[in-house]
Amino acid sequence: MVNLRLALYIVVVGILGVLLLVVYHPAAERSDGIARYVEAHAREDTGAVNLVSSIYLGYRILDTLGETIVLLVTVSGIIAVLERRQ
Amino acid sequence: MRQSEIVDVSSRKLAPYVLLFGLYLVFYGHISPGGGFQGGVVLASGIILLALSRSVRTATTLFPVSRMRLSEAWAFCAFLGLGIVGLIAGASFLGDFLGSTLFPGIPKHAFLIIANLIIGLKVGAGISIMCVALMSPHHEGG
Repeated sequence: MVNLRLALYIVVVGILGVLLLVVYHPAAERSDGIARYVEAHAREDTGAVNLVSSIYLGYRILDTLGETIVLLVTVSGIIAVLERRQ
Repeated sequence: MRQSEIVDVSSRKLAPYVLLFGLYLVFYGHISPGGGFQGGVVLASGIILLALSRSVRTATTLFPVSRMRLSEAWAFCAFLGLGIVGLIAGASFLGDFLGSTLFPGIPKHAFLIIANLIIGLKVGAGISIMCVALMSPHHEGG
């Protein structure tokens, strides 16, 4: 049983490793069009010097809204669980 | 349980600077590394430092849980309101409405500062509420 589990782990890790090697191989062709676009246009599009904040507050601010919703639901859940125990 | 002198003194000296650094990260998020999420977490870590080193009661006297809940909820409403203002001003939902011709003279990154401030308030209040609620001995949520 232990050996079976170990074999399963090795297989899964091996597949993941091969996949990562294929995806992130240095010689692999990458599409960095978006990166080049952000580097060239972010300053005038959003006015931010920091490109990271130009992405998460400018181009992808809807994702930021989703993240804040996740946090809101987490806080609500924790308060609900703790106050029920009282 | 008696507190250690070193923990007591150093945490009391350190907490205001942690809070100040959190505000710096929130307000300068568009220039330097940082932003609403990171700054909010640093703000919350200042409150948690107080709660861990002194007591939860000290932290909640300085930052009452009821106010933190209010700021959590209203910051979320303000974030939605920011999106709706963008919709009214002619941009998309949560679009950058300050760059449009409706508000001349206001620099474009003002939108980023407002959004960072709202997110920082919301994240700081949310994480502080969670940790204070989990750390308080009788589970007094507020």
